[in-house]
Amino acid sequence: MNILELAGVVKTYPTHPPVYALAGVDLKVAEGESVAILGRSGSGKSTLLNVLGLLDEPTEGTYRLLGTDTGDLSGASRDAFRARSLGFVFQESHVLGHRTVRENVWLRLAISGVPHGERRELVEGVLGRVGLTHRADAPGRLLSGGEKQRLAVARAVVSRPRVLLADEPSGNLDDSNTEQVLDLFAEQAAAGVAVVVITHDSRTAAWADRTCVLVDGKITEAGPR
Amino acid sequence: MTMRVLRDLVADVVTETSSRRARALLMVAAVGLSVGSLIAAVGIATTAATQINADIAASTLDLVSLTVVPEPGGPPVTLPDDASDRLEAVTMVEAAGARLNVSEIASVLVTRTADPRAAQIRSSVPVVGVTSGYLRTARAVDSDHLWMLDSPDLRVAYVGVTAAADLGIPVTADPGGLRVWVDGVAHDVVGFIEPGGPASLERAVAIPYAQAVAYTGTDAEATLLARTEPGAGAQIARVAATAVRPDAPQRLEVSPVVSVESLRRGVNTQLDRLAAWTGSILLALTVLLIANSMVVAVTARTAEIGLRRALGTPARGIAAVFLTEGAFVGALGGLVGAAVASVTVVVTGLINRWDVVLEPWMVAAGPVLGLVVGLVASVYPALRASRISPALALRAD
Ligand SMILES: Nc1ncnc2c1ncn2[C@@H]1O[C@H](COP(=O)(O)OP(=O)(O)O)[C@@H](O)[C@H]1O
Ligand SMILES: [Mg+2]
Repeated sequence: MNILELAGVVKTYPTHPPVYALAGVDLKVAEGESVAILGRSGSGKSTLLNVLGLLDEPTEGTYRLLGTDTGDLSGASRDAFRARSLGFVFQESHVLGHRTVRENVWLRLAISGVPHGERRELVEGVLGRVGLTHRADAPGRLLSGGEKQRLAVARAVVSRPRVLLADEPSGNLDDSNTEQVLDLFAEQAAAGVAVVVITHDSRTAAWADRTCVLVDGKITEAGPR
Repeated sequence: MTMRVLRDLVADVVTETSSRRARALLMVAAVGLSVGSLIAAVGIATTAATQINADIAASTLDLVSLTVVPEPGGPPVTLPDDASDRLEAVTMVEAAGARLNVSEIASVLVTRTADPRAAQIRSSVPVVGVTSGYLRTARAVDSDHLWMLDSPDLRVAYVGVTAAADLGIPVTADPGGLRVWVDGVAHDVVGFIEPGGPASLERAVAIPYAQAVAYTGTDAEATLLARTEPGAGAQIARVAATAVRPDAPQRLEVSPVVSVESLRRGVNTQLDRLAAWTGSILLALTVLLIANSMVVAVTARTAEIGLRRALGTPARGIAAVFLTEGAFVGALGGLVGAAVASVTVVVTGLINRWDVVLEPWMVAAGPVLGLVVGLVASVYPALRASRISPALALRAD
């Protein structure tokens, strides 16, 4: 079953002159599938991810998420979708520096509306899986780059989303940290999560089930590894 | 909004605020200072006004009243015949006179005609005996015929305007020919008594003092009233009893009468208004100060707000964070301000030896005022924060 389905998606930024960031994109991602999106800087990768993540709306075309046409959704429903069904990992991890590792994950559960009673177990579980149990009480600003990115992954997946969206998650990481993050992504894919990763990194591209290359807002090459 | 959302919101704001402690403390201090200044200013103004009023009241005291202390088994008449003269002889006494409420001792019937049966019975018109000096002291009547009250033989009467209405007597400038019957004895009406003043005789019929004593046989219910030069009331009060009864001053009880009410209210409102104005301007400044600080905070937290939106926080959830923070900081500041103000008012009062006036509602108003200040200040920053686009806020480049 396809979790994500883009058909003829166009995104134009109404600047002067207008920017045609996406110029007709078709993309389908199935349950448990991992897709790497490649492309030069400015080719529209982040725009694509924002559309997929309901952070931005396409100018034209349709986007079906979990069977729902997102063009019909209200702002509140889009918020709810992000809270319950989507997980994000950005190049900059956006860890809250003055909050502890545990609080960073807890915040995500609070936003997702997970009842208080279930939060503790979920937080401890996910921190164990990303190997941050020993850092649980440290404030976010004291973490290393790799630790921050693992925390970002923990925060993204703790509420069990159906889709994981990552924008150059390994952009700031060395090889061994990149490997750890990819392992975590693989775990998610194995659990049925659709994973879309934007990357420059050939190792990440090689890891994904499928790669797509964006050129001037169009997917020019897509296929299995 | 469910309980869970509310609980998470409060926990979130408390964590956020305490992790930026220095900034939060500065905002609390700002609210505390302005709310505290307002409350302290109003409190000190109220205290000072009360004190000034007391001083003014003392300085304008110009009426002294003496009442007879009943002595069981003693002579029925306490006041000497020349009691009024003795009082007027005292330096700084301008006028003095005696009054006796007949109706409290003897029941006398006042009618409009000679025949009490023919008249409709008016039961409740009190009869009062007064000397001319009493009406002059009380400034109750403007009349050339007051001297008649000092004659034991002239059957005259001054009629209060309310009593006149009760009796069906027209109030005219020339009362010649009008009469009332007191206990069946005809009295010529020589004037009318208007309401107001310390005498409060508008409901009564006033007859010569000596005739009143004849009705009652005692002056146990008599009152002497003396008008002094302004501010001399307190001094005269000290010597009045001895002047009237040098042999037995203890037979008279003396009390100064405060008659200046309107002045007091004037001072109060003027000082209060000044304080309230100054305080309100401070509050407005604080709103701007906090709004500015929060706008800076919103800008500094743009990426975090974008992240929260990406994680699924609705726009109004973002606004709620800043509104709650404003309300929280404001209420805390108001509490601090109320406490500081209370101490300030009390200390100021103690230093100046004033009677401290600190209304409980003024102290209670502190946190409420602070809360409102915080809420108002955070409306614009909250709106700004809620409009941050997550896609823009999270762009890495
Ligand atoms: N909010 C925006 N307004 C105007 N132009 C934008 C905006 N976001 C991105 N762009 C432009 O759209 C194009 C694609 O940007 P982006 O999706 O960020 O590319 P990539 O992530 O592949 O580098 C670029 O030319 C960029 O300048
Ligand atoms: Mg990009």
